Amino acid sequence: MTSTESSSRSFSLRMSARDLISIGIFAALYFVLSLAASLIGIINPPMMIVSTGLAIIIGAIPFMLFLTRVRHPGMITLFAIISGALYVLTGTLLIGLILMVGLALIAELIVWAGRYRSTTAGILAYTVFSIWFFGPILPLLYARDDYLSMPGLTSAGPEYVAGVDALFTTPVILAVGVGCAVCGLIGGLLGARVLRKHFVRAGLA
Amino acid sequence: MTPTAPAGAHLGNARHTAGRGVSPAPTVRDPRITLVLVIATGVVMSLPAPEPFFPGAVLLVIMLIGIERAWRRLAGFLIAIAGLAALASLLPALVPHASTAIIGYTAAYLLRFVLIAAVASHVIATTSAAHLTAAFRAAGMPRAIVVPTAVTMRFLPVVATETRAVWEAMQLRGLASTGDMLRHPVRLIEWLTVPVIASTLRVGDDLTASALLRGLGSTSRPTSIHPTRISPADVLLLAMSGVLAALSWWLFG
Repeated sequence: MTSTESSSRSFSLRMSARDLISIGIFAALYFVLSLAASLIGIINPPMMIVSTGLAIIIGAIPFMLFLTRVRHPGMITLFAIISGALYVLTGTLLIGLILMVGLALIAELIVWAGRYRSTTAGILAYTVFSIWFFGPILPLLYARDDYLSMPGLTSAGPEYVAGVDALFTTPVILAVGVGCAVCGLIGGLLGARVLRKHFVRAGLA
Repeated sequence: MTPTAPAGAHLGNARHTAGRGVSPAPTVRDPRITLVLVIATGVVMSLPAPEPFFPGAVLLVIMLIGIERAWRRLAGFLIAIAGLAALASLLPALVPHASTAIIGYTAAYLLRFVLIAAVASHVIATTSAAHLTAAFRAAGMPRAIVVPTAVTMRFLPVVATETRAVWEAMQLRGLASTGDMLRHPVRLIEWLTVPVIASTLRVGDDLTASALLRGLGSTSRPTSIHPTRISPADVLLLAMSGVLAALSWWLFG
């Protein structure tokens, strides 16, 4: 905690060992809690949408606490690299990790603009960061023909492929991205409330 | 996931032994090589049409989990892979219908994740935090990546155990029914995450103190009891995986 005082005054990317350990712990918390929520969606595709929203909202609680415990430039980027790598290990497409690190850099800027103290900046940062959850359907935007000609998809018959083609138009894909951001905003607000209600009171924040 | 010990079993003394895993068995490969294999599997499975590589990936899984002789886990993965493959290819052909087509498509989609998870399970089961840290350092990774990654690997089982414990306690008190989940999802999230985070952070504070005392995060480069060297067996493993990938591409691509 003492290291945060000096870090807010001078800009330095060099982190104390304590901060690095905290990043590791919160990456583990974020990964396990959000993965547990998204595993509900493995049953069928419609549940997938509900569980992704749930995963975003649950992930906000460790994230918002994380922002109050480290307060050092580079924290969100490192957090994203590690939790993103874990998501890749469990089978998320690689594009998810790239998107996650890119969004983490933007979230980093937002938190930095709030001097690592502002709750509003924290909520906004989580909103931006959550958009990474729509990474797995991104191939529909840049490799649409390849995606639609996958043997798994074409074996379902031409009507099914046409159905997927008709359902996932560019506006719908973008709407999924906006939906992720909305869930991120809800999560951020909930996280800030839980922070006040429990963690500040318990002396953990 | 770990076949050696239940995650909770070492929780009691974990605070004192964190980062010092059991010494690697002679059958354990260099983590750098196995991590490269996981990443390569991940990249191949994210291709728009990874199906030609499925047979090769299954052979890789048999090879890797066979090296550590975790036959039960291997059997589990093979059953899952065979089941999904049957659902993906046989079911829509036998019963042509829109619903079976959707099941088949979902199974084909899940299959690639099961294959990645099977390859990754080898790394998770064979690589201790200390071993991974040494391998990362040997690969020239910066300290800012090495330290948090080692801590995360060490904490995944802790968080998983705590989550399961809190969830079971909630079920025991009748607080986690499906009805509650639908009516008060936010309340349920709060009840689950707050105790999990609080207890994980308590373990984390102890770990931080002990790890700092043992010099984790110091700027000088520590030496390792088991120096990471790429052995001829590692090269052979990598070469065989390359041959498998090339053969898959040549035969089915």
